[in-house]
Amino acid sequence: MRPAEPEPPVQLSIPNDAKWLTVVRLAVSGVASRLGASYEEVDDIKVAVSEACTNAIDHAFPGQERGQGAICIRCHPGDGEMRVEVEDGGCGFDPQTADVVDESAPEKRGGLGLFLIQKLMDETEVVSQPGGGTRVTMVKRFAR
Amino acid sequence: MRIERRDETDWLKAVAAEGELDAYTGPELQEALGAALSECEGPPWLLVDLTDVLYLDSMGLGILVQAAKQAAEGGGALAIACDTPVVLKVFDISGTREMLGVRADVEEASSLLAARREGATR
Repeated sequence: MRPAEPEPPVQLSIPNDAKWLTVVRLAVSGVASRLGASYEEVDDIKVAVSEACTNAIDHAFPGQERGQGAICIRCHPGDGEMRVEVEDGGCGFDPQTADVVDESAPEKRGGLGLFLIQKLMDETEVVSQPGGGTRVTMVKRFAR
Repeated sequence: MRIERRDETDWLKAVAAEGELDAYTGPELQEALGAALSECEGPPWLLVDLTDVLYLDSMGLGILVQAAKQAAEGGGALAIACDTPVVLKVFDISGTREMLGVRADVEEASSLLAARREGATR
């Protein structure tokens, strides 16, 4: 028997403006609910994806007007899980030298956002290169 | 987001927020907390009512931590009323629940500040 074809992703693109964060949260919550996530899992996904978008808004487009850059959110339905990619075409960074997480200083904003993502999701991967944008991939497995 | 400032007692100021606290709405809360702290004549005692806040992100958390530090530097303290699971989880994961004096409701948060004030004035 052939394995089932993966379902196509549900996608949303927003301008790099924090006023659209609430729309992102609504959209990913809807997709996660549709896939059978529990209330707590929906909340975890919502917070994690919103944090990834906030980091992109804050750091990916330095010197550009709000709304000039775009952030793409792709939700991939899986077998008992949901994978979400948050991708920007912004300035990117060198993961080897970036100070991304400082658990001892919760008020450090970018670092805390990534820290929350890692705690709330089952898998997190950040791929970035200077000038080449950043992609954060997060996976949440449903307990059911 | 809706934000309201009020005097709970002659020594206790309160800021109540309603809605979602994120990078878009956070600056509004930051301004209200800053104003409330600067209005205190003595040590600042500040109650932040988040019982109607449905979402909090790292930006909002940073604003609360900063306000708590300011209150402590002035010889006072901040306490938060909150019972929303998704918000409490952010406090727990970041290890800030005790540092921010998070309690389930306004009455408990007020009592916490009253006890701390009594301890501070002894």
